[in-house]
Amino acid sequence: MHAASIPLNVLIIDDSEDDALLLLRHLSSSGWKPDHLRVDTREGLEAAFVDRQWHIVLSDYSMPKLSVENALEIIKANDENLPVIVVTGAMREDELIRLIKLGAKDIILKNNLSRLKPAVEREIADALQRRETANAESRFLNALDCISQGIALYDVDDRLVLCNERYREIMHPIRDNIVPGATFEEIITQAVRTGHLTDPASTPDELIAHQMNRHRNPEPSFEQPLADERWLKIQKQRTAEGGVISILTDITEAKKMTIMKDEFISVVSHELRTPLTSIRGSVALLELKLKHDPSASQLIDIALRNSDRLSRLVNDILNLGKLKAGEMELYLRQLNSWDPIVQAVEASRHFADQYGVTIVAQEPERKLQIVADAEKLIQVLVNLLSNAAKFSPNGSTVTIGVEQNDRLVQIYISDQGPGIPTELAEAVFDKFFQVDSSDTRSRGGVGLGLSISREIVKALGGNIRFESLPGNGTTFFVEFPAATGTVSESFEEPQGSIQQEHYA
Amino acid sequence: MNSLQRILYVDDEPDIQAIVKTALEALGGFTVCTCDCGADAVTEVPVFKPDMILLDMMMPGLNGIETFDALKALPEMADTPVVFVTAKAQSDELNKYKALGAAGTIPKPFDPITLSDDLHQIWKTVVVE
Repeated sequence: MHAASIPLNVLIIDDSEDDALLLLRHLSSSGWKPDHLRVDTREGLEAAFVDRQWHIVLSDYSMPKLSVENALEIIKANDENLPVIVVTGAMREDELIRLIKLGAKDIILKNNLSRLKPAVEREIADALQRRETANAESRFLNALDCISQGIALYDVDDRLVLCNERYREIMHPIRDNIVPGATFEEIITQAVRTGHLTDPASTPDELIAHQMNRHRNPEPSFEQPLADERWLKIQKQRTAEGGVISILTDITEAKKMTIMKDEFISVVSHELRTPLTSIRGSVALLELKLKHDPSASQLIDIALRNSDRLSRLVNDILNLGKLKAGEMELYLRQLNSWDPIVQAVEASRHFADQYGVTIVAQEPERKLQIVADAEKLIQVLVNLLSNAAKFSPNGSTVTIGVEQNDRLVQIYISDQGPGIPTELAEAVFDKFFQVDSSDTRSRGGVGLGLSISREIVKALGGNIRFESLPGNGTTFFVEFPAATGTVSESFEEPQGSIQQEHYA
Repeated sequence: MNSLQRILYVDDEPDIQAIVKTALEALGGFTVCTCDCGADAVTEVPVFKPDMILLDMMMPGLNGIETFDALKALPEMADTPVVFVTAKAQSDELNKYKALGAAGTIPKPFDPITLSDDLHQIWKTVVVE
């Protein structure tokens, strides 16, 4: 295809019509079909950008009514990707450098116009590339602005590369500080100093240090309250280049729902306790009067057992609410893991007898030390032992013991029951879950035990899991880092209000 | 100090009042007077002259703590121990009540069979002091 068919919108800044014609002739002979406008004043140049798009600007160097510096400035303000080539008679090197710094793409000497064709070709191609990049970036930013989450990208030096409008909106009190090039430390320091980011439990300096630490060591996510009573979920993720992507999600609504739900549970539980106290009390007094009447005492026994069951359920719900809210008091100290096992077995034996199940405790050869709250751990073990007994066939054995595996101390509880199907592995820890819904009636539980146990073990900084082969029994493991004076870093920090005693 | 004979029980729940009265009179041999609210308790104390007061914490009108403060302002109350009855018997609340000046705490739901013994136990600690 012949190049003559290529149209070229060329803006010529020159006070000489003859010089302009010379340039146009040169462009035509180079294969373009130029459509041009010549201007030589500031006003003319400004007007050139009204309703017109240019491929390239060819500018003279010295003109009586318009300096090349002003021209470059006006062009940049109107179309920052439009390339400008300065065509001049002669030029000193320092002037040449100054023009390049001001934004001129090339300088061509009038006595060497053969350079014009390749220069124009190159600059048009480069400009096209720049425009495409700019378009892609603005499309990308537009897309980011449509996302309901706040997103910010920081480079390897922790400097802000880009962020979307939502990010600035969420950080609105310091939005003027959120500009590309600002460091995360500057932004977060501003956010804390203005009180936008708060934490009643720590000083501003601690909060800044904490946020910096979380930024430099991205972890899955954490929740952060804001001064305007909103809540954020903050996710950090490393990029391939070693920077960090910060994603802010407004979870205020979800948080409100959780708080309302917890309050509801708490109020309902307290309201349930009052009638329960009346029922329990009056039946207990009746029992005293009627203990010699066998038909009455059987009915009274039923009433007592069921009111106790209802009381336990109310207590469980309240406890779970407290655990979820991180309000449970924990008394952490180093202890021999065998001691709580012995006490849990003692407490569960009578219950297991009712199901014809024998509990066997296997004492380890040496003391395995852990850091835990003995009473809470016993509660968990009793729950696991009674679950194991409940779901074991009459005449079978439940085994409990403890062993050290690598850096973990594992307490295990094995039963010979029907096992838990693999697909229910996570669900068994859910509230009110039963493998078989008829179990609620037949085995007298409501499915809060494991949920509570998991919350307690988590709060203690441990982990609870199980292995099961359907038909071949289940083994639950309660794992803690082996106590060697400090708690292993691979485990979560114990939560809740903790009164930590010195290790023995 | 006298032996523990006369107990004033303050609770807005008539059913629980009846249970406590029956349990303490029939099993503990106490003389029991019940009140529906804190204001009644304040007028009843100079008349009934209890050895001990059992006070429910969650009541409409004057709540347990407000009633406690009003009672403690009475001249007859100088040496009368007050036991709090509460459904919020978590350890942090128990400590709070103790700091307020409760002689003891009976958690709800309580066992009416052992209630008399529980009160004797609390009485002992108060008399020793």
